[in-house]
Amino acid sequence: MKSYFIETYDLNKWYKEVMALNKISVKIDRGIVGLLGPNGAGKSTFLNIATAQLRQSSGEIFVEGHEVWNNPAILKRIGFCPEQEKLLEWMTGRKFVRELARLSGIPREQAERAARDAIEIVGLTGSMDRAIKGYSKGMRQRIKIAQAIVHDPEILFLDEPLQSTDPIVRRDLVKLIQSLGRDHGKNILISSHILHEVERVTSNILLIFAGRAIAQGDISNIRDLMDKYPHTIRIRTKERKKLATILLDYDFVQNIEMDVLNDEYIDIRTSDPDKFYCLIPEIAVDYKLEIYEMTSPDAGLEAVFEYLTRGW
Amino acid sequence: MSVFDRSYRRYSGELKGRWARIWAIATSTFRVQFSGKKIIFLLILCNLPVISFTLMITFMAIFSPAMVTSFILEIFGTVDVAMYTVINFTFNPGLIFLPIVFVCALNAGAIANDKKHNSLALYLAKPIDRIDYITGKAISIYMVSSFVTLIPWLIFMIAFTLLMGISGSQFIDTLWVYLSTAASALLVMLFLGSIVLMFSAMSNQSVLAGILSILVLFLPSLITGVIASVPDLNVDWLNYFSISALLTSSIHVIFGLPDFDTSFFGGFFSSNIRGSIAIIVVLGMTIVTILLTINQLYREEIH
Repeated sequence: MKSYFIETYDLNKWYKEVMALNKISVKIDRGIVGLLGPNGAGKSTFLNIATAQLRQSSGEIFVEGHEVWNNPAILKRIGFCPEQEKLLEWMTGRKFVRELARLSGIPREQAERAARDAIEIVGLTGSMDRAIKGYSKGMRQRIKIAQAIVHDPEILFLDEPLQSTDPIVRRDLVKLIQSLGRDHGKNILISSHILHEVERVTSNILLIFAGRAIAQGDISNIRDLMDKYPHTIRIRTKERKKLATILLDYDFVQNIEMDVLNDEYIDIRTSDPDKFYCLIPEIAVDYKLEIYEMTSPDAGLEAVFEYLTRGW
Repeated sequence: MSVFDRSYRRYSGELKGRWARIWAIATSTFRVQFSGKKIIFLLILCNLPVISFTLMITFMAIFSPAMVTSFILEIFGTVDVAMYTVINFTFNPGLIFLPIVFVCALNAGAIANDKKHNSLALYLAKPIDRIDYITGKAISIYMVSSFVTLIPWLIFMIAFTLLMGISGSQFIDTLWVYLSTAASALLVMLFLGSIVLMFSAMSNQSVLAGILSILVLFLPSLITGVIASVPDLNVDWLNYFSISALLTSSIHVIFGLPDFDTSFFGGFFSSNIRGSIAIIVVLGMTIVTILLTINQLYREEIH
């Protein structure tokens, strides 16, 4: 029987009157998986339950086939980067990682070396002997990742790890996360509310909204699901009026808008993107139209998310 | 210029078991609780009775070595009487405030600060369950508490033993005093520490937890002391609410209900409640507070 990275069955979590998670039943395959949703969607609650910091109100959750609550054996295999900004402020970065390394079970005499290695990987060696209270938000993110990877866990849960990082650090962290997943075989669940961040790390996503799982799988599969919804495609051509006239004859073209700021762009709204994508090359050949660029703003995760949460 | 190696390196060593992780929590908390220069001042202040006794016999040994034995015997008597005197002196109603303040001031933030800074999430994301966390914190609190109980008492006993020139066989004969001292210290550490641990778990403000602990531990002793001082008022039973009376009576039992002549210090240590009941009350309160702490931590939600 196939075992999954994470399995949940009717997972519910209430905070008194507030329902944070609502009957989430998902089976997440191994690899790098993005957990997406707006602020307050339930991402952190999901991660807190997956790391046994919270107990679900009802339902079941299994990580690598094991229950996590009161199960240190599975927690030993997990590294968690929490969302919280406040850390053990009075400690230096090195001591912080070293102490948490010891809590992961690394013996005292090896904890220092392991902490230094982890800090070096996230690029904080130069600041590791400064107190955390003097760290910027980006440095805090990196030190949190360092403590998560210090004991070489097989499973990583990263809650908004790229938040508040500058572009260079973000690029480095994305490379690190990709390397951990692809080269070192770790299973990673990375949460974010900024969709393009996750898109840079993985195409395998789980979307949650208002405590519910609303879609899961490869971004392209989710895209297929969306095809019943109108779809906007942006084309760059010097003959946009001619193209608009031709396209208006097709019933799956719902709306055409000329970009008023840039006279080379035209936005076409279609109810059948597959047919449209097949049609455009034919038109370009038949009518000798020069098309320089064709993009779909909807191809990004933003659009996927907007579509799937519409009406919620 | 240093060029750092940013490639991922696996930690290839072993991961220790549960008790190593609990010990890591305990030592980490202990270091935090025991940091700062003010601690030394507080430590000296709260151990003033024991330090005074120890210094007294040490100076006597330095400046008048010929008379030290007779001096010590005159003041304290034998080692068992001496130890019993020192312990009871520490916990008499007038001085019990000092160890209570020390234990409460240093330990009130043990869990409260973690809650305040949301560090609980960092701990519990590790292979540590709430019981491990509480055990680690409790060990740390008991370790801190030992600095006003076990450690100064043992220092006094060792100084006493060395200055009196007690022989090997005499030492073996008095071994029970060491064991009784250790048992008394353990009881006090568990009792005081567990109450502070409970208040620390219930609040996310260490100052509030500290004040509540001090009030609960000290006020009953003070109030019962005042009421008991009223002439012709037969309210001995009120001493069951006095932490001072409960601890000294328990220690009285641990030392084998001694009938020591402690006349040098007057009628200081006369117990007017039953020691066995006092021990049951102390242990009962300790267990209840530990259970309340566990319950509180299991109810704690991490957002």
